[in-house]
Amino acid sequence: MDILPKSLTSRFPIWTGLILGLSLISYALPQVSSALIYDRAALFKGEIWRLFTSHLVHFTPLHLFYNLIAFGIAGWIIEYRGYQHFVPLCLLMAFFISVSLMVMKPGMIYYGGLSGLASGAIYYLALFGLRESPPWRLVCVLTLFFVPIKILLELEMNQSLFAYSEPFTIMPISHIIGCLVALVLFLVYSARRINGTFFYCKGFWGQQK
Amino acid sequence: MKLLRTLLIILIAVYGLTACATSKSRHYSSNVVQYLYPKQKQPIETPQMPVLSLPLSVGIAFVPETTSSHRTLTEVNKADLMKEASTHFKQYDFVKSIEIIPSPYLTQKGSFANLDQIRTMFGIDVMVLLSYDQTRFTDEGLASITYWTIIGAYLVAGEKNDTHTMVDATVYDIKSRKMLFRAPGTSHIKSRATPVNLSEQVRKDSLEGFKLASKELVINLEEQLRLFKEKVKEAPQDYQIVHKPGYTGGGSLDISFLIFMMLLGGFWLWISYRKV
Repeated sequence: MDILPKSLTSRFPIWTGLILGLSLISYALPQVSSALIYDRAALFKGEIWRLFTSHLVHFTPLHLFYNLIAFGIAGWIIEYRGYQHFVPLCLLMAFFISVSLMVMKPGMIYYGGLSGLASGAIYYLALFGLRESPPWRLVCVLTLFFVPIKILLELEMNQSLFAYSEPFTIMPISHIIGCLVALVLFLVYSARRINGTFFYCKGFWGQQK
Repeated sequence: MKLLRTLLIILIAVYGLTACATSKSRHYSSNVVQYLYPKQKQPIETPQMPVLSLPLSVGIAFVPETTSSHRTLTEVNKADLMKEASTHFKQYDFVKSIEIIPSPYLTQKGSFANLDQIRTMFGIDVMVLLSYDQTRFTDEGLASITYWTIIGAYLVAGEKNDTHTMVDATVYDIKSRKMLFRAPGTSHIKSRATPVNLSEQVRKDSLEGFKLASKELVINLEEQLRLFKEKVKEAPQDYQIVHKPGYTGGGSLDISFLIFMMLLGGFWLWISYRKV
């Protein structure tokens, strides 16, 4: 007997699965992770792909576990609900997080981790949830409060709320940028929808339920 | 009378020939061993295992000259050469900053005590000590015989200059007193001058010699840096590498976020299950 109803398993979250799979491969193969990681010097030498791929690299099992679970849940719900533009969202978040780190953290040489994308995806999910019926809407409203408060506390403390020993410095700035990109994309999408001008090809990036 | 004239000609010729064979040489140097280990009785310190905290703050300075009265490089020349070398260090991601240390901060025979003071003053971890050795030879060529005409001393370049220069960079981890690596650069310059502009030409050659040697030094330094990086990877028992906070950044969530996400996911599943 299936644990989940058939309708929940019928729509496989392809993009989320792909990102999680690539993260696992990158973690398992050090050669792959060294080719994908955010390496400031390599970026300045023209290895632009690292702006997008650095988020797939993780440094420790716990780092990988926390990020993959959070992103996996958020991505799965987004894809299942058919909230549009999930792939452009991920690409834009990856790009803007990396560029922001390049500009704002010149002393940081290496970066990796999916948390910026996970934070942005959760925020995007919560924003779309405002259009849903209760009680899911209420949960999304709470999420919209919880995420920024958590990030602000992290910024203030300059570490995670429940800090754990890691061989890297946690960058809450990536969470802020992820959420901001999600908010901007949601607002742009909503404005276009209100104006009745849909430029995006329905069914390609994801389907609105 | 004829005999006297012949004798005079012979005398002039002999003087001229001996003048051609006259050779002057000058030697200038600064010595890194004398600077770091000035007292021979002092036991050589056993270096500890270096702990390189990346990214490194590097200092670069010229070792004081062996004799303070004879200097061949001015402070401006030294600063220019150090700037040239420092630009090549800056391109490496493991170098956070590079400080050019003026000569007055290095005392003669200052040893590691002096380096410790500099380390505190400038906040550096690693020091690049530049030392040099320059020997200049001036010989008079056959053309110097024309100096007898006085006008020849102004017009004929009968002085032959030979300038041999070596610049050496030694990179030390100050805390552990361990030499990390070194790289040399050499040059050889030949020129000619009239006796009137000899000192000016020698000065030009000297500076040019330093510039050329520094260029070679930079090439060798890059190679040595590359080899050192490999050495650190291959022999982790000899060097300990630690990263300063912020060198590696991670986008990471914590247990609170994980619990929140699990509750969120669980709640969504519950709603979906109820609808179905």
